[in-house]
Amino acid sequence: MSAEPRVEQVRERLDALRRQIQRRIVGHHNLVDGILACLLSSGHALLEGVPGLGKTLLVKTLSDALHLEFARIQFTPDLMPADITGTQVVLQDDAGHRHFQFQPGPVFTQLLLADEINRATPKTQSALLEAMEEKRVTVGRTGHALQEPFMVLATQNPIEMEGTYPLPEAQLDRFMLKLNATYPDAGELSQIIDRATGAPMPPVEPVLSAGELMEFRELVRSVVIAGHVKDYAIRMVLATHPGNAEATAMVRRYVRLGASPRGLLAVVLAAKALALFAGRINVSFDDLAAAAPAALRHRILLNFEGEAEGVDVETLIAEVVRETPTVPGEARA
Amino acid sequence: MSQAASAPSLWIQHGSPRSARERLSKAVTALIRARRLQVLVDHAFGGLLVGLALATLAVLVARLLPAPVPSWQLAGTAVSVAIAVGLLVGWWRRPDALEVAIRADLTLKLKQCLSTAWEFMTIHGDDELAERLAVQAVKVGLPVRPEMVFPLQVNRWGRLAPLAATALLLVSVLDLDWIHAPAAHEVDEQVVSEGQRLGAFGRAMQTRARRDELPRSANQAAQLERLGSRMEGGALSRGEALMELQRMGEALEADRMQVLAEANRTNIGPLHAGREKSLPAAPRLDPAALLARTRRGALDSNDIQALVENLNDRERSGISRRELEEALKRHQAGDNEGLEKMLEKLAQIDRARKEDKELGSAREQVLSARANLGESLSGENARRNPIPDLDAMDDLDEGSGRSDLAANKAGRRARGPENKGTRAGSRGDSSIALERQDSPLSPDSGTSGAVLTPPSQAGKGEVFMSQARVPPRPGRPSVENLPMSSEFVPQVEEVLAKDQYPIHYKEFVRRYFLNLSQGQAQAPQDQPPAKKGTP
Repeated sequence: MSAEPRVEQVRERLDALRRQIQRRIVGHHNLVDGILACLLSSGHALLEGVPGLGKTLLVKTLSDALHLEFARIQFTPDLMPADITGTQVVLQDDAGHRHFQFQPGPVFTQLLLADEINRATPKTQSALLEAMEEKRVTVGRTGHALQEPFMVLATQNPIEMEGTYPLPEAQLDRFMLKLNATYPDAGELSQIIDRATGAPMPPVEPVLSAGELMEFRELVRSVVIAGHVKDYAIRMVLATHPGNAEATAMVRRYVRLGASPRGLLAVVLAAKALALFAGRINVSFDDLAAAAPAALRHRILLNFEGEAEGVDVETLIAEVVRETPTVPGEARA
Repeated sequence: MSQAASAPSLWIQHGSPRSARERLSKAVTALIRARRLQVLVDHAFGGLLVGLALATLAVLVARLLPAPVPSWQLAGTAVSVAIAVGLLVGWWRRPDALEVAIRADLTLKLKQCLSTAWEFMTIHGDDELAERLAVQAVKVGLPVRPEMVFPLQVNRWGRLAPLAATALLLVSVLDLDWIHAPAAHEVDEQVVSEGQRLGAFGRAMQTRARRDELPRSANQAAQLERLGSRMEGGALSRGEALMELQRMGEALEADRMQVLAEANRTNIGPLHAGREKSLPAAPRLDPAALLARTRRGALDSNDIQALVENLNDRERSGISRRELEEALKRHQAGDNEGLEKMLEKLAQIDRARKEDKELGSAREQVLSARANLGESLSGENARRNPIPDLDAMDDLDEGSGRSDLAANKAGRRARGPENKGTRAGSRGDSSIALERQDSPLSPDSGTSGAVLTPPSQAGKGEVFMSQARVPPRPGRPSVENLPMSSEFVPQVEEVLAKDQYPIHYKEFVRRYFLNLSQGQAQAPQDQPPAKKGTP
């Protein structure tokens, strides 16, 4: 292991980051952990939730707590790809010569908030594909590298269907985790009232630099996963394939396409991040089980019967996790 | 988190890494030992359950059937052996260290720290990483008491063992006579009695057949004895016994036919059919002994005298006086070949005679048994277990014909129309006449009786057919007593003695003469269909 695994230091720094976020955000602990797991795993996150749950505020708070460049794109139907990636503009110098110069778009940042991403057309949505996967943007014949770390945090509203364009599968697969924003409980709502209607919110101080973040990313990748734990992750992902022998009954009946290899990588990387959050340098079965829903829910496509019967993918994944044996031939403990 | 663990130089500090690895090794070794003990105990319980089940079965069988070993000894042996086998299997199945570590992780919720550390320490060989993982495993808490992970407890097999033991106890102490009781009620004393008789006869027949080297008779005697034993043991109901007896009778008759057919193939002349004269009368000399003495050159004048004196028998066997004289002359001249061939033929037919006699005698016993069982059954036939073949016996005019017809009918039904009637009697009534019409055996004429040809011998030679006879039922005439004028009796007997009338026509002839004596010229009403060559 080349990196020095300062696990406790990481935990302390992340705790500090959480504290800064919690100065503005009430609750959403799972959402924050998921975003941090994506952040430390070099992934991107898709936040889904009804309006008013604080998704955008969470991302803005995160950007404030990090020493990272932040940009926000409000996706609308008339948004063009060039509005995201940037474009060539004609400039005239003092001598009167004109030449093209690339004007970078908002994607050239470190933390990009793609707000209401499903309101843009698929063409515009696809402008993010290269940026998210290869961390670069090609305009014309020229490729432009993005800064590291680079992370896209997209939000979408699952309720409104009119005037929206569901993300294409390829675009969805680029998101490492899909995180669901849930309604706060009564205690959290009380706190929200106090914070939002009382005194102005306290400023958030940046606690984590880009350099530290890159160091933590290496640390996440150095978390080990034993052979039998890896086998469990593989069995779990294979269990989402309806044609596989490991598939559960619900998967066989309701699933058209299971999770891709990228989904398996997402599960393992997220599990490594969760293990690091827990102060361990090894992945456990529980880490994989905890990472599976967020990593797989947008990668499993239901068939017509599943759609017609309104099958919940969360239930399906829960069954997969529950029925995949940790030791081959035995039920999961 | 301890202060030592958060020191900047070490990411986790819990003693030296070497000691952590040692502690990890010791912990896993202890876990393996505990797991092995648990596996042994599990298999022992499995063996105990299987042993108790086997012991229950063994005791049950030992109590139902006579066994040379006491029940408790069987039970003890079964349990001991099963437990020993279970322990052996448990000893053979050594637990895998990684599997043990995984189970410990799952049981103690160690978040796979132990198994991951063990895997990296033993398989991957990355010392630095292994040390760090070992330290982490020690930190999360190695199992100090392996029996907590793999406790010695009664498994599901062990929990079922009391049930099996209870079953064993019940089987040992409960009265099982009720299992035998229904069989005891069903035993038919008459079937048992007939079985005893047939068994005794079969044993005696076996002795004779072995002594005289008669393979067919020996085989049939063994089967007869076996059938007798089954009947005697109460294994057969009356209906089953009758069916078996019927089959036995058919087999005996078929064997007898085969013996006669083989004897005919030796070209020693046709063996003629006749009730009491199925084969020529037994000679007063032993052809086999004569043949042996001839081959040894020890044939003396007494033997030659005996041969000459029994020439009549020899002639009936197809050997003429002239042939015998020539053979004796050549023997006196020193050439034994002719005499030996002649004696070989005689020995062969002598054996066939004996086989015929034994098989015929056995068949008579079988028919007698059937008749006896049928007599006893006739009262119940109408309401419970009717046997039509036995009822049909009333239609016959002879005791032998009755059983034969019944057997023939049943056999014909079983064999189908292509193999109807393997024999025919020399006498009978109209029912037998119908049988004869169905029979493939074609009547033939010979010098000393009717010569019948079985299907297998059709066109190849002649075969003598004989028929066993069962005494008629007491108190009931089997032949209708027809009053006849005395003036025609000699003529009737003369005609019947001279001509070869079929059985069913003899009665017709008698009736004819009876009508003549009463001044009626017309034939009786139940006249059989006209046939060429009949009155």
